[in-house]
Amino acid sequence: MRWAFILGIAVILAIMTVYEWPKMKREMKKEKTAFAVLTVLGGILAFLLMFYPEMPGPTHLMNAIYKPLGTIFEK
Amino acid sequence: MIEKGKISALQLGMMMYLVIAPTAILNSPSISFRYAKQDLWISPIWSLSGWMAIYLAFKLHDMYPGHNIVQASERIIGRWPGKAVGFLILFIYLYINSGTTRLYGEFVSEAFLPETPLIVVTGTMVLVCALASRGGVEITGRFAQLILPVFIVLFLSNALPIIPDLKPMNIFPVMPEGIMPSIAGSIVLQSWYCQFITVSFLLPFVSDREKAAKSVSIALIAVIVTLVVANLVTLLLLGEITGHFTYPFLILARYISLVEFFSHLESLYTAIWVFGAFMKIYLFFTYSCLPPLNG
Repeated sequence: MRWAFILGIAVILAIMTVYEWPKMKREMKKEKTAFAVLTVLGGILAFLLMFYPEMPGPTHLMNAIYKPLGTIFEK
Repeated sequence: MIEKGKISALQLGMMMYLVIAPTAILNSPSISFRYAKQDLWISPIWSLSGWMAIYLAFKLHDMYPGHNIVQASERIIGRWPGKAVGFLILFIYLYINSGTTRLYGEFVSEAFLPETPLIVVTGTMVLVCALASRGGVEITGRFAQLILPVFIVLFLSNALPIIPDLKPMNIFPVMPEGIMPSIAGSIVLQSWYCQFITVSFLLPFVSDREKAAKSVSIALIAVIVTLVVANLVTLLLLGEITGHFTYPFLILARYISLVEFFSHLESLYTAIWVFGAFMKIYLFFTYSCLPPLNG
C-alpha cells in the first residue's frame, strides 16, 4: 500500500513537470529554479512523510507558541 | 508570467468576504461557545485584529505603492531579512491553506461522503484550485462576483426557514459575567479576521484604489453581521447544546423541514461550504504564487 502511494506521488510529480516545464520559456531562469526547488522539496517531504508520519510539523511549532495564550483563557 | 489583470474595489471586497465568512460560519460557533456560552453571538463583534490588518495593509500600500506585503518587507528591512520575512508569510499561507483543505475534507467526508477516502475529497479540491489559480487575479475577482449572490441566497435559505422554531429565551441571561467571556470567545475568531491582511496582496491590482478601503471595510462589517446572525440563530435553536456539535450550523440546516416539503436543506449548506472552501483555497493558492506587478 505504501509503495502504491509512493508510486502515485512520483506519477503526480512527473505529470506536474511534464505539464509545466514546456510552458516556461528559455529566458525564465528564475521561474525554472523556483519550480525545480519547490517540486524537489515537496517530493522529498511527501516521501519522508510516507515513511515517518510522526515527524514534527509546523503545527507543533504553533502549539508551542500559542499554548501559553490558550491557558490564560482556559478556566 | 507577469500579472496584467485588474480587479475592481467591489470585487476585492467580495473576495475578502468569501474568503473569511464561509469557513468562519462552519467552525467558529462551537469554538466561541466553549468560552462565551450564551454570549457567543456577541463574540464576532470584537474584531480588532480585522481592523488592524486592514489598516496595516492600506498603510503599507500607501507607503510602498504597487508592492504587496512581501515586497514591502524587502524594502523595509533589507534584502535578505526581508526575504526571510516574506518566506515566513508565504509559508503561513501555505500552512493555513493546508489546514483549510483538511477541514474541508473532514467536513465533507464526515457529513456527506463517509465512505470516500479523504484523499479523494481533498485531492479533487486541490486539483481544481491549482488549475483555477493559473487563471490569474482577474478570474478570482470575477469568480467572487459570480458566487457571492449564490452564497447569500443559500445562507438566507438556511437561516430564514428556521425562524419559527427559534426559542428567544435561549439568549438570556445576556452577559451575566460581564464582557470578558464574549471577548475570550472571540480570541479564536481573531485568526479569521486577521486573514484580512491578504488585502495587501491584492491592492496592487485594484484599479480604483480610492474606493478599496471602503469596500474592504464593508466586507469586514458584512462578515461580522453574517457571523452574528449565524451564531445567534444557532444559539436560539440549539441553546445549551451548541457546544456538543463540531458543526452547529450543519445541525441547524438538518433541522429545517419546511411544511414537510423542503427538507435536507443541509445540501444547500454544503454548497455554501464547498463554494467558500474553494474560494479560500483557490485565493490562497493564487496569493502564494502571485507574481509581482512590476517584475
